[in-house]
Amino acid sequence: MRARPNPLAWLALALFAAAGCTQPAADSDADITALLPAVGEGGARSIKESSSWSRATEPRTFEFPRDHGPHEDFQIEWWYYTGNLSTSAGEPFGYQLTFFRTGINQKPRNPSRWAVRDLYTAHFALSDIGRQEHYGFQRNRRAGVGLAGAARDKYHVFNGDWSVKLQGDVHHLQAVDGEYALDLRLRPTKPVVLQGEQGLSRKGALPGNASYYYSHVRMASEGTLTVDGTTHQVSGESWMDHEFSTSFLEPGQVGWDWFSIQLDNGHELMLFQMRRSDGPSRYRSGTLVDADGRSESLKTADIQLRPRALWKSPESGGNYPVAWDVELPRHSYRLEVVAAFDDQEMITAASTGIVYWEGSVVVRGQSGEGPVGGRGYLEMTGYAGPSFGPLLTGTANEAPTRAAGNAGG
Amino acid sequence: MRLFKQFILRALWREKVRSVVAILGVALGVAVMVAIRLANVSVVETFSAAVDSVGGHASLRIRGRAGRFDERLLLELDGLRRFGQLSPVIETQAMIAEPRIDEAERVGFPRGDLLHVLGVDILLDYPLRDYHVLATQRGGEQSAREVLSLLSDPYSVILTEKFLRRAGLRVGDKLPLVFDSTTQEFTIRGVLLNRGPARTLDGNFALMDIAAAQWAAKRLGVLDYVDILLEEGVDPARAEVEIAQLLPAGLLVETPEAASGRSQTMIAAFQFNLAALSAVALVVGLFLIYNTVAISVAARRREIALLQIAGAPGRTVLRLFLGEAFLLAFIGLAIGLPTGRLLAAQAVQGTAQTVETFYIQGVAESSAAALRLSLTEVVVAALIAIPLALLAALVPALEAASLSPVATARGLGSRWGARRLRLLLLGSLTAAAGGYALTFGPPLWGRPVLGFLAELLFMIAGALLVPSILRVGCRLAQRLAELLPRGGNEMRLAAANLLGALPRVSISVAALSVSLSMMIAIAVMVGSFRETVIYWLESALSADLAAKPVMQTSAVSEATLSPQAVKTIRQDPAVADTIWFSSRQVVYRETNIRLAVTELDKTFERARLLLKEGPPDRYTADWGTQADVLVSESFAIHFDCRVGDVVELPTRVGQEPFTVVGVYYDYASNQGTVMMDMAVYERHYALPGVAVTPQAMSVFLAEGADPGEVRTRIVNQLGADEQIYLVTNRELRREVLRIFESTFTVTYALQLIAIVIAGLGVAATLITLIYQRQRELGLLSLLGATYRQIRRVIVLEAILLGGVSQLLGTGIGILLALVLIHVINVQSFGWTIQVYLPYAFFLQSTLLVLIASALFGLYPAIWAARENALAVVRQE
Repeated sequence: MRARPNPLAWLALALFAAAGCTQPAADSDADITALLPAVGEGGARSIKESSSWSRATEPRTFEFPRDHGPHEDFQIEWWYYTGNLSTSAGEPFGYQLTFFRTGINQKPRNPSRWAVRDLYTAHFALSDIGRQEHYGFQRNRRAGVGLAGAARDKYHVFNGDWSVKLQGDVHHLQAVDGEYALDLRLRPTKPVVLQGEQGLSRKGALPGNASYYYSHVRMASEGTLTVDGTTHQVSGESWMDHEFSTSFLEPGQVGWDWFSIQLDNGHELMLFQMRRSDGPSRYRSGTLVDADGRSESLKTADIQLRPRALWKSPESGGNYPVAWDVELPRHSYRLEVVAAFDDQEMITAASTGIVYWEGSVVVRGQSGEGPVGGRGYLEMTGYAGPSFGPLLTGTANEAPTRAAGNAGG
Repeated sequence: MRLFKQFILRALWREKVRSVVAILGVALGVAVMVAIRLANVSVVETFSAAVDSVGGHASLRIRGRAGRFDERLLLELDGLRRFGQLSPVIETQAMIAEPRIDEAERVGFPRGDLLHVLGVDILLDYPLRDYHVLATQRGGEQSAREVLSLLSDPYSVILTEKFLRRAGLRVGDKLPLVFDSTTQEFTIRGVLLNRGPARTLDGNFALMDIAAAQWAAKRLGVLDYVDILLEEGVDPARAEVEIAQLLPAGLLVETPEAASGRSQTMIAAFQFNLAALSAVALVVGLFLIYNTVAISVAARRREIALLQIAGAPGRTVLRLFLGEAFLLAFIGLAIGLPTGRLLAAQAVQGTAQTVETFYIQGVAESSAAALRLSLTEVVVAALIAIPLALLAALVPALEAASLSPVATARGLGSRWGARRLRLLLLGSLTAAAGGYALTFGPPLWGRPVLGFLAELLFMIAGALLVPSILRVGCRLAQRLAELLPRGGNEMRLAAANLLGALPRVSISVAALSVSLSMMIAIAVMVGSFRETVIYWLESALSADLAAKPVMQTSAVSEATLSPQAVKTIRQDPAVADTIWFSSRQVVYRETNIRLAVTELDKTFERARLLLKEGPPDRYTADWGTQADVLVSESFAIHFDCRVGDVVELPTRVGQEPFTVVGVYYDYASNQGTVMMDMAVYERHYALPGVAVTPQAMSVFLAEGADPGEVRTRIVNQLGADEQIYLVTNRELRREVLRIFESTFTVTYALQLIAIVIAGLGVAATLITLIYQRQRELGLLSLLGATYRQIRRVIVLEAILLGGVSQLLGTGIGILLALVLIHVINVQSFGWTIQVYLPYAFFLQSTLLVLIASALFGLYPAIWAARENALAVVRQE
C-alpha cells in the first residue's frame, strides 16, 4: 500500500472492532445502560461472517489490465489518483479522486440487491492553488441497485457519476459535485511500478501486515476542471495507486505520512512512514523510480524525514507538518517538500468522521550536486479527528495477525 | 350582584334538583363533545406525529404512481443528486410474535403489539432523520457506518428506548417478529434514543437495514419510496417542479405531507360525522339550559313582577336570567371538561380502532397515549358551550324582561292560545320544508354539511311540533279516560294538568323527543346498514375458507401470503379451487384509492359479485384481454363515474386508460376501489423479476370436505413460523359483523348519553311542575284524594309525556335516518343502504321509554304525595 492505509482503512477496521469506541456517551443517562450490553457483548458485534478474506503474504504475479479491476477476495481495496495540473495560462490546480472498496460480507445470505457485500467510498478534492482554496467531497455507498461498484470484466470503478474507466491505455476520470467537476484522461508514460517486494508492500517492522500495491507514477494528463462553476482546460501529470489487502495495520500505529513526488529530472519518489502512539520509532518505506522506469525499494534506513513547519487546522485543531525535509543519504537526495498552500485538509462528513490532510506539494532540493525540483502529493493522517488507537488492538479479524499476536506476547 | 344573589342563586339553591340536572345536562353535553373532539384530534395527531417523526427532514418524496416501484429506477435518479440527498425507503409493519401460538389462537383473530418498521440504507438516510443510536454501555452515539455494521446481519433490528423499557428487553436480546405471515427471530442490536423517528407511535418503531427489510417484508426488488433531503438554499416548490420533469413516467414527486394529507382526508368524513353526532349531545344539554331558565321565568312571574314594580328595568331582568344561564353553563363546563377527558380514553379506543381497521395502519396502538386536554380544547369548548347557553336562555329571558308587570303578576301567559300554536306549527312546517330542500344539496368541502343542517332543521321542526302533538295527545287521553271505568279520573286530571302547563312541558318533551329521535335514527340507520351488509356477505362470501397473512390487520395493509402458504393451501387434497386476491393503494385524482386484483373469471363463477350496474353476472372473456375494470359503488359515487366511462389510472409506466364495465357493491371499505383481472394487472402493473404473491385467498373445498379439518391440516403443515388467518365462512362473517359493531360502538355510546341527558330533563320538568302545583295538590288531598291517587296522577303525566316524546321521536327519527342513509352516508362513504325499519326495536324502545318515564315520574310523585298537603294549603 502506498502507505496509504488511509482513513478508509482505519474505518474498515473500525467496522470490525467493537462498535462505538469513538466518544463517551453523549447522553450520560445512567439509566440507559440497563438496556445496553457491555462493550463487545451481544448486539455490539454483528459481523462475524467476514472470515475467509484472502491475505497479502507472498508476492504475487500481476497481470494488466486485469489487475486494475477489483480483487474481491481481499477486504480492502483502493484506487487513488492525485495530480498537479495547470491551465494554459499557468494557473495551478491539484486534484484527488479516490475510490475505496471495503468488503463487509463475502457471501451475504440476503438475496436483496441492497445486501452489503462491499461498501464503496469515494473522495474527490480540488485544490485551487492560486486562490489557496481546497474543495472536498465524499460519497459513501453500498452497491445496491448499481449505485457504486467495480466491474469484474474490465477496469471500471464507479460511485454514482464519479468513475474511472480504462479506454485503451488511457484512464478516464470523471467526478462532479455541484459547481465542481473533473474530467481527465491520463496516459501512463512509464510502465507499472510494483511497490515493495514485487508488489508486496509491508506496512510495519513486524512481518504480517502488508498489501499488494502498484503504481502508475507518471501519467500525462489532460482534460477539464470545473471550479466554482468555471470550467478550465487543464494539463499536467498524475499519479495512480492501486492497492488491496485484508490486514496491514500494526497495533499501536496512529497515522502515517505519505509522499508521491514527480521530479523534473525524470525520477519519481514514493515514501511513507508509519507513526506509532507508543514511541518515536517509525517504519519507513519507499520506492525510487528512474527515468527509464527502473525502480528501487527504499528501507527505513534509507529515508530521513523531518517535519519543518506546522500548520494548525482551525477546523479540526490538528497540527499538520505542512513542510518536510526529505533526505535519502544513500541516493544523495536532499529535498524540501512544502505544501502548495496550508489548508488542504479533508474533513469528511459526520457520518464517517475521518479527518486527514491530502494536498498538492512543491518540491525543491538537490540530487547529487545538481538542483532538482518537482511536484507531488502529500497525505497525512492521524493528526486530528477520532483516535484510532484503541481500534487497532481490537480488530475483529477472525485470525489475529501475527503482528498482533507478537504485540500481545 | 346582590340582586343576583337573592334572586337567582337562592332560587337555584332552593331548586337544587333542577339546577343539578341542568348542570349535569350541560356537563354531559360538553363532556361528550370534548371526548369526541379529543379522540378525533388524538387519532389525527398520532398519525401526523408518526408521519412527521418518520418523515424526518425530507422535504420531497418520490413514489411510484402505481405503488411500489422497481428499485432499479433508482439508477435513473442519480442525476437528482444535485438537488440533495436521496434515500430509498422500505416502510412496513411487524408484529411481535407471541412466544407460543397454539392452534386456537391462530385460527381466531389474535393481535400482537405492532412495530412500525423503517428499512433504510443508513449511509444515505443518516442526515434525513434524527438517529441517536447506542449499542454498548461505553460507546457513544453510533455513526452511520457503525449503525450499518450493527444492522448488516439480515435479522437485526434497532428498537427504541421506550419500547425496550416497556417490553423489558435489552440490546443483545432476541425477539421473534412476524412480517406478513412469517415469524423470524431478530436480534436487538441497538437502542434508538427517544428522539426523531423513535417517537413514532409511542416508541413502537424498529429501524432495519433496507436489505433486511426488503427480505423480511418480501419486497425484494421494489421500493416504497425515495426521500429527498434538499440541499440548503434549494426552493422545495421549484425543486418539486424540476424533479417532476426529470422523473421516469412511472414515478412522481410530492411532499411527504401530500400523502399523509390524503390519508387524513379519508378519515375526515368519518370524523366529521362523529363530531356532528357529539354536537347533538350538547344541543340536548342546551335544551336543558333553555328549559331551566324558561321554567325559572315561568315559576317566578310574580317575583319578576314585583321586581319590575320596584323599578328594576327590563334590562336588569334580562341580565339576571342570562346570568343564571351563564352560571349553569359555566359549572357544567367545569365539570364537563375533566369528564370529557376521562371519556376520551374510551372514545379514542373506539375511533382509533375504526380508523385503523379501515384507513390507516398502526394508529390504534398509541392514540390513547397521545391524549391530552390542551388549552385549545378548553377554549373551544368554552367558546361553544357558553355563548350557546346564553343564546338558549335568551328567549325565555327576553320573555321575562318584556312582560308587563300586571300581566306577570296575574300569572297570565302560562297557557298558549290557538294562535300561538298555529304559529309554532307554521314554524315547524317551514323548518321541515327547509330541511327537505337541504337534502338535495351537494356535499360542501367534501363533507355532508348540508345533510347535517337538514337533520338539525328536522329536529327543530319536530321540537316546534311538540305543543300541537302534546295537545292532541292530552285530548286523546281525556277521551280514553272517559272510556275507562276506573282510574279514569286520574288520567283525565293528568291530561288536564299537562294541557294547563303546555309551554313548560313542551320544552321538556321537545328535548326528549329530539334525543329519542337521534336514538331511533341511529338505530334505523345502523340496523339498515347491518341488514344490507349481511345480505352482501351472503353473496360475496361464498368461499369455504379464507386465508390471509396475520399482518393483514387493516383494509389498507398490503401484507402478503408467503409462497409456501399459497403452495400448501393449493396442494391440500380437499382444496378444489382458490381465488387470488390482492390490493394496493394508488392515487387517483389526488385521492387514495384501492386497486384490487383478483381472478375475475373465478370470482364471477363462484363468488357472485353483487353488481349494481353493468353486464350480466358472468365473466366476459374481454375483461382479461382488454383494459377493462369494475369499480366499487363508492368509487362510482365519489368520482361520478358510470359503466362505459374511461378512467385514467396510474400504472407502472404512467397514466393509462381503463374502461369501466361494471359497478359492484362493496361494504368492506368505503375507499373507492377499482377491481381488475389478474391478466390485466400483469400487463399494466407487474414488475419484471418481482414475484407477486396474493394478499388473501378464497378457498373452495371439494364436495363433502370439512372446513375445520382442512384448516387444521393446513395450519399444522405450515408450522408455527408461518402465521396465517385461515377462517371458515362462518367465522369470517362473524368477524365482519364484529368489526361492524365495533365501528358503531362510539355511536351507540353517544346516543345513550343523549338519552340520559334528555331523561334528566324530563325528571327536572316534572319536579318543577309539581313544585308549582303544590297548592293544587294540597287542595286535591284536602278534597279527599289519597296519596296513591296523587301519585298515580303524576306517574300518568310522566307516561303521557314519555309516550308523546317517543311517538314524535320515532317519527322524526325515521326522517333523520332517511337523511343519514340517503344523504349523509352517500356523501361521506358512497354506500347504498337498503332501508329496513326495525319494528321490534320500535316496540322495545317504546316500552322502555314508557317504563323509564314512569320511573322518572315516580320520584316527584312520591315527593309530592309526601308533602304535607294541609301545611301547603295553610301557607296560602
